[in-house]
Amino acid sequence: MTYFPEEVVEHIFDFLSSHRDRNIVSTVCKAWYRVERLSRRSVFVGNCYAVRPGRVMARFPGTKCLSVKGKPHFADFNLVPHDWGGFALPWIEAAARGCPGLEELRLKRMVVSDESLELLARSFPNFKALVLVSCEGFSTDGLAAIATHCRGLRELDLQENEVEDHGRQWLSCFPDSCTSLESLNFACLKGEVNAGALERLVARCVNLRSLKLNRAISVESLARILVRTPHLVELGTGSFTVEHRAEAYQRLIHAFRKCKSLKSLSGFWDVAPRCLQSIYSICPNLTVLNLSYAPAIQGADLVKLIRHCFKLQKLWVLDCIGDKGLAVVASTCKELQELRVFPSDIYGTGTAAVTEEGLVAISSGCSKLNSLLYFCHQMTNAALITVAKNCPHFTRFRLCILDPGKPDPDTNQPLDEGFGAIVRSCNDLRRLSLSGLLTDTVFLYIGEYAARLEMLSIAFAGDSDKGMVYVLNGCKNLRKLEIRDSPFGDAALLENVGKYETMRSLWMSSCDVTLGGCKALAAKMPRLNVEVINDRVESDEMEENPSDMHKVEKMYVYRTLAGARNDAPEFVDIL
Amino acid sequence: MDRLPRAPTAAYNPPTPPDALNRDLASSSSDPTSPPGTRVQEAAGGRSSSTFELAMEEGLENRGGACPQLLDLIPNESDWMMAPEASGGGRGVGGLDDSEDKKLELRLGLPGGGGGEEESAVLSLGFFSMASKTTTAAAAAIATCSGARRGLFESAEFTKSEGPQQEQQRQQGGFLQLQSRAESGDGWPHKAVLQQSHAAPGGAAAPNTSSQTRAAPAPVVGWPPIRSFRKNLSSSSVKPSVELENDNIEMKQKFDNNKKGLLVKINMDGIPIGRKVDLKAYDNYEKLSLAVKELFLGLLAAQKDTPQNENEEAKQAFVGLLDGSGEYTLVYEDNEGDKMLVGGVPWDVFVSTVKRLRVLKSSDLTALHLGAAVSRKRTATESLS
Repeated sequence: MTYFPEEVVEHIFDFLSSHRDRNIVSTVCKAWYRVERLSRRSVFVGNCYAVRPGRVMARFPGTKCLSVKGKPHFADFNLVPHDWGGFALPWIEAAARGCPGLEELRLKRMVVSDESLELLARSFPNFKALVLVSCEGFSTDGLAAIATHCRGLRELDLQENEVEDHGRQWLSCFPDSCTSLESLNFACLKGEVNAGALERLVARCVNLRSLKLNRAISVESLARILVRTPHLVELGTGSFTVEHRAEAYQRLIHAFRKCKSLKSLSGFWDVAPRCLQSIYSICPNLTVLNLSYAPAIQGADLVKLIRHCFKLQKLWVLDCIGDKGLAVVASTCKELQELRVFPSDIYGTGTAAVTEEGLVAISSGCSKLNSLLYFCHQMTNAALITVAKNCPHFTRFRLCILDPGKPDPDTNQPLDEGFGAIVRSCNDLRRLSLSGLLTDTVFLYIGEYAARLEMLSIAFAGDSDKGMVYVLNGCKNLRKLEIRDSPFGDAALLENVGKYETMRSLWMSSCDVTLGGCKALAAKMPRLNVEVINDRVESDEMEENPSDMHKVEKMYVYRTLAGARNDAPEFVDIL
Repeated sequence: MDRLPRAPTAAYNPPTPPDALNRDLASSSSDPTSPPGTRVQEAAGGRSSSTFELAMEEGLENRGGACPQLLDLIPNESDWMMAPEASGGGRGVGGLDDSEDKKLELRLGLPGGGGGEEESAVLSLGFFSMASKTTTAAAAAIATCSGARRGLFESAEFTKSEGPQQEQQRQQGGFLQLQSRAESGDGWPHKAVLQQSHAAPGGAAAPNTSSQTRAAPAPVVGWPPIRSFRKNLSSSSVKPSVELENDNIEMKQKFDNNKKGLLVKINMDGIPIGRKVDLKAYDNYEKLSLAVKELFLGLLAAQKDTPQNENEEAKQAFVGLLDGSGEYTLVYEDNEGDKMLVGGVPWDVFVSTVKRLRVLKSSDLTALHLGAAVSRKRTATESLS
């Protein structure tokens, strides 16, 4: 293909949007490599330690959108020590030096300091979008810097971050000249925000389509905002605490009626069930509804609401919806593609919330369902088999039975057959999370049938090394494997070491892997970083040189071009 | 710290709670799951109920993942490893001897079995190779495994600070009771689960049949796999089912306003560090003004360069705080986000709407776009003073 002028090749590459496709074409020949790298605008780095930031900027100088991910997934559940790593600063520094034309930055599970945000704010004149997901390390001071210096900012999306409230009126730092905002999400902020400044900001940003407020915003303020933003498509409400007879509530209903474009709703902290009536007028248009922050809404009220939502595609609820509520969802929401049911009362004494019945109901009513996250108290093989038959299109199937290692309550059997049915039936399955009582057999099934599986999460499962080996030898598209509290040891770890270079990462915690096994792995595979994350207290007490027989509490293995990282804290050993 | 007496008096020092715990405690304070003592206790020996036992009962009634949050709340929570059970012995809960470990381990297993011997489904809470921190924290973990955890912490705190012997005894009793129940030979979770079925649920939710057959799960780090902020949702929201909606809102407001003390932040121009002031301590604007002066006088004096006259100058700065005539003016931000001059409304209205205070340089007043509010408030102040 060298007789095509480069411009033509580049133009053809424009049609390749997926990173993987572009990665593949860049390996065809040197000419294509060159064309591709100079024309790549969107770069995705799945593991921030797999490659040096400078290297990325050097290879892709035209980067406009950069996405970087940091900590392993289990960090979400406090399994990764706080200062393990995943710092954003080196990436922002490298981009500032190498790609000053950067327009969008997306970071997930990284430590972002105020200093990095300030650097970001000052380094990229065309900066348009900042998306931070599950990050930490910054405060409202950093946000103030972004608001102040990023002229032309279109998107500021803060999802589930830990943000320190330094009380700065960061929102007021958006200059009066800022009219470009299209998406603003500060729902995760705990502190107060100047409501007046917010109202003025949304009023002058006429292209604003997505607004997600935090809990500190009152209903009165929300009503005033909605009046100014009738074209809003996505809304995250604030606290929604209001007396239903109050004038503010009436104004709210009125404002909602004006918002004819609303398709997505979330927020609803502290909402009293009666106040849900205010959104009934919007429900028929809703495609996305997130009520997972509203434990005050019990099944019956949820049901009343959902009966209006027949266009719903994505629903996040708490398990207080109950099996009956899910049955209503099944009969109403025929377009449903994604369902997440979160546990509501983990420590309390609530009634059994959702069981396998709810899931079966959903599967029989919602044939388009392809993504599931389901926390329940019990599950049966029969139910899973039925679900597998009804919904063969699952791409993401995450089932969490709250009681670890719990078997099928009807038969007392492990859930191998149920999950086996899922992987056999759902050929497009890319992500799977297992729970309940499981033997090696389920892994045999997974290895054999889950050909497209990319991410597998295992907890309290399996009997022996064979289980893990089935997976490693079987799932050829596996990218991320995370295992906790399962009896897999060195033999499994070392059985197929080449596999890890085809994957992004492997996490094993509270398994039977020993220090010796980790060392052996590191020795055999120099292009893997084998991180042993020590229990901090233990490392004070343990002898200087723990024996190779010592079981490793947490191990994180990932392929890398960058060698051992130099920012690891002392409790992390990189072998 | 001695481990042998399983009584938690020595061991039971609630660990210094990090913020997360404080938040949880604070947020659940208005909504205890059930008042202590509503359960019928049929503990071995029929001892009187204690909040500890209550906690145990509730904990055992739990479905699913019990309270991983608890371990999350303990400092160095990342250090809480659930080490595999295999290595037996060692220091268990409350400092148990090896021989007791088997009986007293919290196990997960098939329902009905005393935990069984299956490797795969067994976790042991009794497995910490850490010292005193562990025993206290473990004791805390066992003890507070439920929505009544706050109640228990409170009584523990109470115990510590006031030291009523009785309270301590009961707690000890409760803990000992835990041991003796287990010692009777059945696997602990099993026996206790059966016990739950005898206990009248009282304030608890309706018992479900599966509670009898379910093996009580031990609290596990990072389980269930949900983000921390989701774990606090129930406790920090208002439960509507019991009260009328009106009551909810009113109660909430009353609670907010009648809490002991109303702390608001106050910042002063030119001073980087802010302070907090308790508005409940004053009943008029004059007293507030004096308090503001006291708060910032030292800081302001320290900033001025002239050592000779610093105090005089600094004191002068606080004259005329309320009427706009001085070098500085006191303003506040109300619950609607508007900036207002202090002094314009009756004191109690002020207290109920103020969110933050600020000592502004009077020359900056117009810059704040106080607008009409300025002249209106000024007149109001003048008419009041």
